[in-house]
Amino acid sequence: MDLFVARVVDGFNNGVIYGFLALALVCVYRGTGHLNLAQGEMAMFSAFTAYAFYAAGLPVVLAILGACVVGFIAGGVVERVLIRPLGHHADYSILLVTIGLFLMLNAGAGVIWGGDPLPFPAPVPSTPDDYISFLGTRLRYQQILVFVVLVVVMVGLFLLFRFTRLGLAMRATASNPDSARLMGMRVNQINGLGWMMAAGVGALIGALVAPSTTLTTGMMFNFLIYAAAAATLGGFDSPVGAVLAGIVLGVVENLVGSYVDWVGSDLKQAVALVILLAVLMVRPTGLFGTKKVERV
Amino acid sequence: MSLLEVRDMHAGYGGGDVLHGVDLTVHAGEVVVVLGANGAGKTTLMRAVSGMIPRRGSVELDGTSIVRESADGIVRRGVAQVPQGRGTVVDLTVEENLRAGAHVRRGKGLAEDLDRWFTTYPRLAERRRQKAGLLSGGEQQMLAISRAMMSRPRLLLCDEPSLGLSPLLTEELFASLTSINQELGMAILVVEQNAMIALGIASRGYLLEVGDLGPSRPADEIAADDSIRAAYLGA
Repeated sequence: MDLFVARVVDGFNNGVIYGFLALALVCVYRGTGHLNLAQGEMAMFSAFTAYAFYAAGLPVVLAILGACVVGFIAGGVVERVLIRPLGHHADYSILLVTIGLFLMLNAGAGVIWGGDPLPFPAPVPSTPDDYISFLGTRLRYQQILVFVVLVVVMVGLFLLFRFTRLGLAMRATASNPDSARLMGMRVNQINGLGWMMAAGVGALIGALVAPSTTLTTGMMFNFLIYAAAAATLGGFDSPVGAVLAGIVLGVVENLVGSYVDWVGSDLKQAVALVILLAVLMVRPTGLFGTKKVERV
Repeated sequence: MSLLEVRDMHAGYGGGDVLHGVDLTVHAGEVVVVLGANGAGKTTLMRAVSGMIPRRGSVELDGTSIVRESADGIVRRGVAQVPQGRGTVVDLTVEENLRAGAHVRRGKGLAEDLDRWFTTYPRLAERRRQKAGLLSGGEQQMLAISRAMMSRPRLLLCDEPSLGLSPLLTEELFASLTSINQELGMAILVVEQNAMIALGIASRGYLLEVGDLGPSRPADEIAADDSIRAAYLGA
């Protein structure tokens, strides 16, 4: 029983990270209607940025916040310089540019910080004794922190999209940029803001995850696959759905990996993708996504 | 002074000009119609006035030049457009579409305006929480007009509102444009292929022929003109 709980909790903690990164994907999607494949690498680069601040002598919390600010601004720059010139309807070009950005950031981080893992401190106490017991298993402070920050960000995004004038403008812009302009929305700025928010959230994820994964250029790669799966599963336009789907994926993946011998840890990733495929066959819009409707 | 004053406006889509020096005037409180066949440049004219495509020449709103203004800035100055194809934001609900239409407004009166348009078009009220993409063509056209009106414009541009609607719905729609004009004193510029019904609500009309706009004439005179009847009215 204890082992079962421990496996659920482990999966849950992974799922929290998947859901968190999925949130960043949803930010870009909600603000622009596009998928940013470089989201994970942007988060990784931001984690290194936080490390650089920390190494320069800033306290951990300030280093993380600093990286968020830098990420926020950098997200805007990326949108302005790489994405906006392509125009709103260049879906495939934008997808390709995000792949290019992925490679650039991945290689760039390697050039600047090298290929060896770097230690990154947690913002909360994280000696082996810093945990609370929960049904016979251990919840580490660091894991609790990630979960709490995730919930705060998720609720914040949900409220923004659902109840504010800006959130409505972001959704309108993602859905129909031409009409959004005719309603007086500053479509370019709104797109930029979507990227900025996503990059800021990404920086937070990178810096919060780095203490458990150690800081490497490959730290986000796996997570991005799961996050894309979670966002698809949850419905790309739903922050709450993305987070829930991420957590479900994490738990199911870990349980199947632990209890089904032939899956083991090697095929764990395939489990997530099989779930994704199965859900999409039944509900193409994801579990929580709203159906795209169009009548002509 | 006229509300909208367009002089020698050229506009097109990169490849070349579609409009070759257009002059057009709309006075406050007036309904003006521009008639033209397919491909004459009606939509180009609308998109040029609202700043959605590059244009040269002079475009003035209430005496202030808006030719260098961005599309969103022109909406803020009080020009709202009902685009061709209705421009429905299909992923938002009906009510969210209307709220989005009020984006440029600040302050009070939003709830009152929502009420007003839900009263004007009760079918929208019945569907206010549905995704707008689920509405029928006629309902989407009502939504497009209400959405444009939610910005409290001074000038309403309507791009072929009759497109794809049954004759009965078209009549209803033009009747509601008339009442928007009369009750709110709203100036309306409408481009149409359906000449007869559009002339019925307008005081003046222009004929747009492959990028050239002639002088305006009284709407009833155009409707009575035999050569125009033959060309546009199918009679």
